[in-house]
Amino acid sequence: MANSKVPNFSGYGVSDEMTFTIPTGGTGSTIERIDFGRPYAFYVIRIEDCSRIAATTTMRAQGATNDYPQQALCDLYELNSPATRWVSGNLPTSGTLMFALTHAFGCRYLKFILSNAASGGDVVLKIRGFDPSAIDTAVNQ
Amino acid sequence: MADSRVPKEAGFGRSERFVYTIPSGTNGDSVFRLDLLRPYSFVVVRVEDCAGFNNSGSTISALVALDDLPEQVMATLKETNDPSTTWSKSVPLTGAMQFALTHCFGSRYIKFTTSANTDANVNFHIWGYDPLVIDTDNGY
Repeated sequence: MANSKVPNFSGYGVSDEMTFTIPTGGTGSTIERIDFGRPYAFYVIRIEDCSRIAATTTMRAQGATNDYPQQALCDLYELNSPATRWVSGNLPTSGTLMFALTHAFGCRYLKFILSNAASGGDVVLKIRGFDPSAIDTAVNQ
Repeated sequence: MADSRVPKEAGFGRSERFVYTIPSGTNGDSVFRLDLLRPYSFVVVRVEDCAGFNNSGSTISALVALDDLPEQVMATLKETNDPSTTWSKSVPLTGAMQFALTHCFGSRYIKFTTSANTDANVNFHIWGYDPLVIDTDNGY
């Protein structure tokens, strides 16, 4: 733990915001995976309108680390636990949510699948990747 | 992971101290969000006088946003890897407390609310933490 302030150009950097949209009536299983353009250590996921999530819906994910050669998407399992596929509990059906996803460490590609079809409208996941960054290469952003 | 000792200048650096106050008789709903001025990996939260929490018991929860490009709505903070569980914890009613909050990874804006109105002002002292790297090799 450095005994000093952290300058603006140091710390975890962040990707552009990527959107994964699950159309009404769908679960996301047929949606093309998101390509973040590079792998990231961690992800933060936001759903700003949970009202399109059906009652007692859970969420799981599939991931791939790169495309050399193009990898198949694998079911995402919990950290240190290849016996336990990551499946959320029941998602909220109103309001907003934001959570950090650490299980997808090192993934470049991600895909999310709901246990029940979206109803009444699209479920929009806004996702950003995070990785340590020591040098600010995006001075003007 | 460097195969070397970590110099004093490197590690997690921190922000200035920020203060978020929930006024007496309120639950924080109407308090404007705290702007840490940049995103941080983790935050450390201190309440040096917990007597201001409702004497009958209270929990705290949080709303968060990553940045303001464009301005994001404040979203309910869920537990890491668990979007079905809102982060909400009971707080002590006496003494002082300090804890690290890792669930809000990447947040720049944060707001705390309590389940019961406070009996007196509750002051949260908050620091953001992020890895700090200083190039001690003078340009590699």
